[in-house]
Amino acid sequence: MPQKNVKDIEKEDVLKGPIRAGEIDFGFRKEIAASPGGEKLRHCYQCGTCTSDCPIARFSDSYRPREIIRMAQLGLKKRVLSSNTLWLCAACYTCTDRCPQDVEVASVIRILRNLAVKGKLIPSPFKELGKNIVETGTAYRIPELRLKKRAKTGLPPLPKSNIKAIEKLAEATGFSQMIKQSD
Amino acid sequence: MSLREVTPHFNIELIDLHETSCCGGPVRSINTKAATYLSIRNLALAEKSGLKNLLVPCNECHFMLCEVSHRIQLNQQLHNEVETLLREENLQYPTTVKIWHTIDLFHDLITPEKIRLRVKRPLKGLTFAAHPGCQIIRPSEIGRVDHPEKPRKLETLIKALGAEAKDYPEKLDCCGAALLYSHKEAALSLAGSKLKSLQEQGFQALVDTCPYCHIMYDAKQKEAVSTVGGKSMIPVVYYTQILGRALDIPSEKLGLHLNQTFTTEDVEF
Repeated sequence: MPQKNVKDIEKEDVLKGPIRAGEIDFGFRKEIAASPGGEKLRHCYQCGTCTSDCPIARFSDSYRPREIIRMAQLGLKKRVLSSNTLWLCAACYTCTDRCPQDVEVASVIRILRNLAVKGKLIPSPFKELGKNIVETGTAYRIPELRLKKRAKTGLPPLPKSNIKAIEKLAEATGFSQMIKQSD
Repeated sequence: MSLREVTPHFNIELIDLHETSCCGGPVRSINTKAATYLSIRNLALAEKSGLKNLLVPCNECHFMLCEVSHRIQLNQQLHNEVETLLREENLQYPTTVKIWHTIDLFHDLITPEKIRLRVKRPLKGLTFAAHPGCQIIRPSEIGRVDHPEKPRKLETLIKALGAEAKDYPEKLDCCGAALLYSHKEAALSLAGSKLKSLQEQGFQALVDTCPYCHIMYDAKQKEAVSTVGGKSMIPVVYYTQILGRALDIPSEKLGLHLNQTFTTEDVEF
């Protein structure tokens, strides 16, 4: 996923438009409810507290957590999973904490993101972060120069990760496969 | 750096944990399972070390460790899966290690009273804005270090140094770090609008504790402020840096010279 600005994302957005009966996936909400954090999806009564408290919704004309939750409830799987706005959540958990129905809004969005990349190309920034984790143990590659700078301050060297263990773990969770896919 | 300098003053010894990795937070959106294992593995390594307490200064890492433990406790199947994977590395499911963050370490364990007694150079006449950050106060369900709507601990800690800490409307606003690598502009707008408002309100500096927030407010400040049409800069410092100055630790030892937004011309700590 190349770097896009918020306005471009809004232009391309696929959330809007009339709903066709054929696009409804009735098992979708069960799929979400089966993942940790998605259990209370059906409790949402669309009050809009999540959207009105969302710091991203303040800047964006189209990112509306309430809408995403409704689409998920209705089973509009394709639409919600291909929406670019899904990737705008900053995970501040304001929505989750303030929801009067205890819907874990941010967690539902995380589950939707997991489903959105299943069997598909993963957005490139995430691929890079993933690769870094599996190859070095940390999400960001720390440049040699910075490590030298660190040593000069008198700080002890960074503890080494156990790469073998991380690789094994990545293999067992399907994570290696995800980040190995070619662009 | 500053955390390592100040803790010995309160009889706390920090021991680096080895073989650990990223908490998985940054890749949680694409593979929650992998992120869950990464987090719980780190916690299991802490348990294996025999130490009873784990200090996690980063809000996201702290959140990940707490949230993942919370989820696993609620889900027997996940619990079994995790245990099997940990066993392969001869690790046990962690049950006793206590997770600390900079804010509750200083507020709940060390206490502001004790800090006040140790202060050698009170930071009189300085007014700070406190930024606790999102994931350290929310979601409250998993147990966070401060109140989700009225976090006051960081302010209390600042006041213990003789400085002022005033409330401001944007206190609970997110720094946007989680979006920095995928949606840079959105992330910078979030950080920038808070910084711009803080300048207008006349704060001497913004005080944070989380390294991820610190990247947004300090290293990315110039970009962030210009994204929202602002110009001037506001110093951003870690709590442990101002605490260190109040304890009369030289600023180089606290890494104040490494902050991008801090100059001694702006603020005399």
